Amino acid sequence: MLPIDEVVSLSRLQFAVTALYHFLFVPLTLGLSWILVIMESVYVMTGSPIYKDMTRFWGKLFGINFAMGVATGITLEFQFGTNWSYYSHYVGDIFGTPLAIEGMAAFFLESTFVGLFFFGWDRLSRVQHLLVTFLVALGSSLSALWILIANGWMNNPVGAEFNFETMRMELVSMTDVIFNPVAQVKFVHTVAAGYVTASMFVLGVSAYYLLKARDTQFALRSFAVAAGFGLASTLSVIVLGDESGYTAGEVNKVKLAAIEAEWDTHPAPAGITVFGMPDSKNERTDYAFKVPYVLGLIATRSTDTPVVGIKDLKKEHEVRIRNGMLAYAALTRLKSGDKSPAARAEFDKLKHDLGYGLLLKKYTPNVIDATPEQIAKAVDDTIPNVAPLFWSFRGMVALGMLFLFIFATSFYFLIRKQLAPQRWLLRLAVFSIPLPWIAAELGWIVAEYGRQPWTIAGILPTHLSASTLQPSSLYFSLAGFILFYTFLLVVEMVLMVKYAKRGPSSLHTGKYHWELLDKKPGAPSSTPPRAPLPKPSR
Amino acid sequence: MPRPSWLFRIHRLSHLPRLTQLPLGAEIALILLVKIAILTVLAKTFFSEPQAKKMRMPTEQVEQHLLAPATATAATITAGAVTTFTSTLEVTHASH
Repeated sequence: MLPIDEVVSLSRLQFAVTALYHFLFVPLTLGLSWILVIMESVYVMTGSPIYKDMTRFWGKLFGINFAMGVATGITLEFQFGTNWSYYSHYVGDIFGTPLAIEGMAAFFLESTFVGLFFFGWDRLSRVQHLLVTFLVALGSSLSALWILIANGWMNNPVGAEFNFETMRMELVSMTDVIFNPVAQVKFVHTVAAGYVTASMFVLGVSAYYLLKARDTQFALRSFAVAAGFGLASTLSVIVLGDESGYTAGEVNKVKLAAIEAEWDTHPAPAGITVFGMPDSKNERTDYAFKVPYVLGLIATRSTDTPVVGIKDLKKEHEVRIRNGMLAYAALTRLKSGDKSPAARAEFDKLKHDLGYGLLLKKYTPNVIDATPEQIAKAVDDTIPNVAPLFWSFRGMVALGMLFLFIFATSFYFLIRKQLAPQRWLLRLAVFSIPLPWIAAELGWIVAEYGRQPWTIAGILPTHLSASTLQPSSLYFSLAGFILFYTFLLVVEMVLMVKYAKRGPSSLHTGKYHWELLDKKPGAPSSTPPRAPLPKPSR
Repeated sequence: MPRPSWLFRIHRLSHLPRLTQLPLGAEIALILLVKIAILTVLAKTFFSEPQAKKMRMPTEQVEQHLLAPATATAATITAGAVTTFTSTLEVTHASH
């Protein structure tokens, strides 16, 4: 591996590791905050104290997750300036704005109201406290919105133009950046996935109490909120995922073709490959099991528009790379001092393909003189590795279908008042607690790995975005991040398990399981964690 | 000896020794302090000198990184045909 490749690969690995770790904390915050709003709204409307207890108990678990997760995203911002300096310069004019607004939303709106949520129970009226809870949820969703606007722009860079004088993209229309269709679809899909994660968390923990036959009224109500909210959220994720597929068909054709291992352009409407073994070397999918028409309908919303296959996309990319070489030449001419109207017009005509020309920098320092072999290599680079995308996507979808089954079945048995005998379902709910996190991480792999070889789709190749650093520095900082995040994750899991096991008894209201046990004459002190271990049961 | 059930294993996890005997609020405050300390150390050690300060670099450095090295043979384009001209632009390929 060349040193430059090693630096780029390590920078990518470091960003991927920190982003994936960061997103272990995010979805629970996104979803649990709205579940708290639902629970507290019922409390305000009915005055039933059990809903206040529910809000306070799940709020406690929310607080643990918030405390562990807050500022874990700041490490990504460290990396922009240090590891991705050329990227930062190239897109800073556009990218900096949503990041700054996100920081304001996260630190001022969200964090302030989280403090009021915990310390305001005895100081605020019911309605005022509900408003605070609502603003916590709104703040976390707004943080996500601005980050996903920035991320959406990386996938579909609208509202910006390249300025050859400053050698960076400059903002032309903030409205276009905010209402970028990719960003909007990403936002709703991501926050809905967060709602699913939190719903499964509440459902699974409540199912644990029901299996242990303790705090059943508390657990049943929590289970009901989670089942209802989870069912609605899972349906939203599926519908919005479909919308995401349509948007990808419009603006991220390569990503769509790679996800679906669509090597050839088939007559419309294209069938979807449900299962198969993608073979990138020979550009085919072995043992493919296809369902006719489905992909064409999802990706194009029509019966007569084809889904362009990878082989045809490569032909388009070769044309764009050759145009990119010309754009590169025109830019070189401008930078050499010839700023005549003719030179500017020439560059303006071709600048949309400049990024494709820059792909050649990986193989030749002088893009203008690239050989056909070098062009062919750059064309191959325009297609991300198909197999990881194909399988990650299918893993995510399969998990989504499992969540739909769990929430729908839970909801069904709940309204039929037949939940208690369904111990298999309660066990499934407990075991499924970690699965939404896995689905979310797979989703991010699809989204970000599928954007390769670009940091900014069609504009800036990844290999030109990274800074010139020493690999050793990256190895040490990567190790530091892994240790840091692992520490946070272990602490989070220990605290979560401890307080989830204590259940509402941790509120010290005297009404719940462990405290009632303590009150029984002759009963051993059983407040967790010193409660007696249950006997292993088969 | 039968294997412990999953319920037993989950239950056993919650019996890990407590980090402190403090209440949850104080425990979280302590962890947040540790977190700030680790983040500060990481930032000072590895990220204190970003090449792109405030998301900006010297334009010349970006030109050197992106454009051709040495004396470039640039091109003008007319309808897909390439005619060459010689640029006096001296660009070192320092970043590579």
